[in-house]
Amino acid sequence: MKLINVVAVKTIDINDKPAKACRECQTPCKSACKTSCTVGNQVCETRKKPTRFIW
Amino acid sequence: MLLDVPSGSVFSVDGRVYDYLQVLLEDPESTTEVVLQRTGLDAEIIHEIEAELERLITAECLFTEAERPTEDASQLVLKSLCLNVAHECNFACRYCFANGGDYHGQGTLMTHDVARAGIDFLVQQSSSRRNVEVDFFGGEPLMDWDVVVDAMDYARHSYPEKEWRFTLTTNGSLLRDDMFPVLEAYDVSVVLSVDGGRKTHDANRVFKDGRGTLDVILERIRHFTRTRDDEGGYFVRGTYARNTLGFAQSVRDLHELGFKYISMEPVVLSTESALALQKSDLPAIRAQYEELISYFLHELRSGSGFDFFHFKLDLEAGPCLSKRIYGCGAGVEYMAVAPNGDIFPCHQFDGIEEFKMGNVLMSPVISRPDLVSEFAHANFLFAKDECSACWARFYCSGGCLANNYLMNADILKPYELGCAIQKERIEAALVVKTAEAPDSRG
Ligand code: SF4
Ligand code: SF4
Repeated sequence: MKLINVVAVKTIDINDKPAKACRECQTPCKSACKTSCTVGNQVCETRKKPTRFIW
Repeated sequence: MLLDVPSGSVFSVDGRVYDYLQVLLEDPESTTEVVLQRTGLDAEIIHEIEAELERLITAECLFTEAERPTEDASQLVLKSLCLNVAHECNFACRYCFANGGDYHGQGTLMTHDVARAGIDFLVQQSSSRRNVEVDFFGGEPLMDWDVVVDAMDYARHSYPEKEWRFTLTTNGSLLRDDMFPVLEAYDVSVVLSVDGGRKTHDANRVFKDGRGTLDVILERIRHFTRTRDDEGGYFVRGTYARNTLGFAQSVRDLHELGFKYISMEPVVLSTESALALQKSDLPAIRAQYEELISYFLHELRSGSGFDFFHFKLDLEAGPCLSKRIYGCGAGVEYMAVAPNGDIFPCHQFDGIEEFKMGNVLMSPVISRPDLVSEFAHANFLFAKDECSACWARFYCSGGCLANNYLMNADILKPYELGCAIQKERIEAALVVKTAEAPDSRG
């Protein structure tokens, strides 16, 4: 019997270091007067081309 | 649903696993007898639960331990600029943080020279970053359309080595057909403010004489968004306030009006304001998210799905940890320029004299490097105690420094109600992801 269903594993690299980051992706502004973006809404642009909308 | 915070692993769990974990997380020393007694489960099921958990722990995706990342602001350079081209607006929305668009000052528009100087400043500061962002904001930025177009043209032609990304936030009332090809040519992402159906929208989004604005903007906006329904490039975003709390219905209304890309945000106002959200609204906000999840999934499954911005959570290709531990970048990776050239950490600090960092027409442009350092530190997730201990930290990245300042007069002190709503929203997004996962579809 399966009691735990895996949705996604290791979605964050816990050993990542700031110096390695390219920081090319957008800056996420959480302001209500924009779209209240958080990093959770972003994608890593070296792994996946972002959709047209950015914040 | 179960989330392993450090590794970002997400699971959906049987109710029995939930009960088991509740007991053990409350008291990790609980004996088998206590667990049996408190959960009412039999020994065989508990054995199965423990075996499954053990497998996940061994695979390092549950109860993972991670070192706390260290602060390193050396990689932060300016890459995103808000050109606040209009301290003026033709609306007087009741919840506007910019005081009806004038930012508590004289209504002014940005000149070509200031906008161009802003672009120069961004490029000089952005060092080797290739992707740079310019966001046209206000007030109502379409009141200064010529300057918007000139700035985009100047940016692209003067600095072709950069990848320019433009965004414009508008109330939609001044949108004209002849603007569409220009917005297309510069690939401008457009945020259009609509709060929902007529009653909701017109409750707060009004002209200066108090008339509702929906009738004036709706056809214009629909006309524009129809040109982008297939490939995106717009978001219709609403704000919900105390008098328009039923945001699940507002999202439904926007979808029924034909919009495919929708976002809905909580208003942020100081607690004395009649429209400000209060702690006592939290149960209602939670219920709204639950209603919205059902509607969103229903539409998705019946083939008329839409994009809800806060549910866009990419569990496969999300940003790296380094990005997640430095927030919005206000004051260091992101700055805002007022019409007179003054620079502020972001659009929400615009006009607050103590946060003025410099002016794009001056030399040196930045007159308060101390403020840049202060904001670089404040952007670090673990600089804020509440964030360090928060389960939502790697999705939220540490809240909004402007809201912290507005509510607590301290950029390092998270705005508690905002955090509670943020966590509701992230939980809702994870629930949607869980429901969309192959094994969960029912
Ligand atoms: S929800 Fe609040 S406490 Fe949690 S990370 Fe965001 S700002 Fe910090
Ligand atoms: S401080 Fe708040 S409003 Fe300013 S850029 Fe950051 S998230 Fe946006």
